Amino acid sequence: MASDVLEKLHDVIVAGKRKESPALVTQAFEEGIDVDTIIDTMSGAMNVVGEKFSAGEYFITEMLLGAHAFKAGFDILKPALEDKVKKSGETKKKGVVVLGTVINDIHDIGKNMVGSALQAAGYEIHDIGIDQPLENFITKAEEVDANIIALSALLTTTMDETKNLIELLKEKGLNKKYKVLIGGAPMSQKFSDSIGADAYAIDAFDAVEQVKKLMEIIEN
Amino acid sequence: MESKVYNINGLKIGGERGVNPTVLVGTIFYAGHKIVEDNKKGIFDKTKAEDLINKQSEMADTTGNPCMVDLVGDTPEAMVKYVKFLTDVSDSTFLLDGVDGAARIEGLKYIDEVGLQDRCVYSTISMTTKDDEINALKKSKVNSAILFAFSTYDPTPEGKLGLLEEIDGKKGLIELGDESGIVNSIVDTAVLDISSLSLSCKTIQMVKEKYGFPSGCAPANGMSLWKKAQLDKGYYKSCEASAAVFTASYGADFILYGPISSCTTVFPSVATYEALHAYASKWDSGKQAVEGHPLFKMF
Repeated sequence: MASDVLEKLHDVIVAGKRKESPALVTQAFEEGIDVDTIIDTMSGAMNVVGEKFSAGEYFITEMLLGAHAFKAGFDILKPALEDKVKKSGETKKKGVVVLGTVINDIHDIGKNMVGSALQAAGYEIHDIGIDQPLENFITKAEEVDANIIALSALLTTTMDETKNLIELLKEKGLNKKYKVLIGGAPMSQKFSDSIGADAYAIDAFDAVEQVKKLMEIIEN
Repeated sequence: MESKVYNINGLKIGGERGVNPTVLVGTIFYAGHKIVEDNKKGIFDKTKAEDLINKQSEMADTTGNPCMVDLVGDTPEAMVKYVKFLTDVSDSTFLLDGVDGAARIEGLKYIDEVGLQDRCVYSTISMTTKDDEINALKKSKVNSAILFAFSTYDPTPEGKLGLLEEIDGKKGLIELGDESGIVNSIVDTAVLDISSLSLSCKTIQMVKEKYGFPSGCAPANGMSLWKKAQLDKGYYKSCEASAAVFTASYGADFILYGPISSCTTVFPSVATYEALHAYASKWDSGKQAVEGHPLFKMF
């Protein structure tokens, strides 16, 4: 009889039980289930979380719990995913995003949710953390050959750092190399347009849509 | 655990439900506050600011719910100007609520210089508070602070409660407060969005039961993200007052209710609830509300 481990994994992510997802990922490996099937299950669960959020059934608390349950499982899965890529010789990535919260800003809820949602959607994420100087975003982007730099700012006093990053990229002649995505409570599409950002995301699931659109622009 | 009661600048906070009334805290100079002309330099309309502060004090006197002023400073310069202004025009207790450590530290220095430490509640000590802030607090004479129980990883009541003690090898909030020289620790149970207010209120009860600290939260944080309530101004005011009453119904010792201008709707709403609750408590358990409680002001 087939194990119901994938169904359980799906359900614990939807229910936001971060302490249970790592053991289920390990169990799925032990049962010989391939890495693609496991990640598809986990991504499907995150999609359900997103749908429930959009439908008004879930709120930020459930989103946060779901994102952490996904990430806890993904951390177990990550080495196997990297190993698979190495063995296959596959070099094409869906997209590489450097993500962080700008300097003097210690908010990380939105950033973490964006990171999990993008990982669930198959993008390679490099989360550099909170309170990060602008140079760190660029250094990491150069190091990992990123496509997109995603900045989070939750304060009216720190939101201008997003503009400063765009200026800094211009100064360094890197503005055409990276697309810039911004998000956070005080920002808006209008603000994004005014500073010349490439995209603005209103929430984590919108960030997935925006990254998808930016990657289409990059690839075409 | 016995509920602790603090006396901060004559303002009593904490204790058993139905005895001391909930302290209501109105916010001024917040992001987007129309009376602020330059949030970085701390330039604002002084007449309007004084009117707002006086109105809140008047509502406190009328209803019996004590008040504090939540001073939000975006920069060190603005923070100091706001503290100076408040203490020039009012004798109210206040929260030193700088948006970052630099603003709060500069505010602390000024408060120590002019001897305002007994009127100040530091806002806030959290799991992300840096060493320079802890050291500044240690040096300061300020001994009242809000411990902000917010967990990114576990926003459930159990997750918030767990932050008060050592967690994953990190110092808990109680230890951080003790290290900083804080004697009057007050717990804020961290509101994420309006739905999470219910979880924050459950946490208030858990904190009081386990530790006895005065506890409360900021429904205002949920209100600011509640898009549907913002569709109509009249609708919004009702929702805001209702959220404050809900918080009081869980035994909150303080409520950061939102913009200080909302005092005219929030104070009578909460006071009506508290007067009714205090009277019910008297019948149920013989608890007597203190002099000046809404029970004796509202009816």
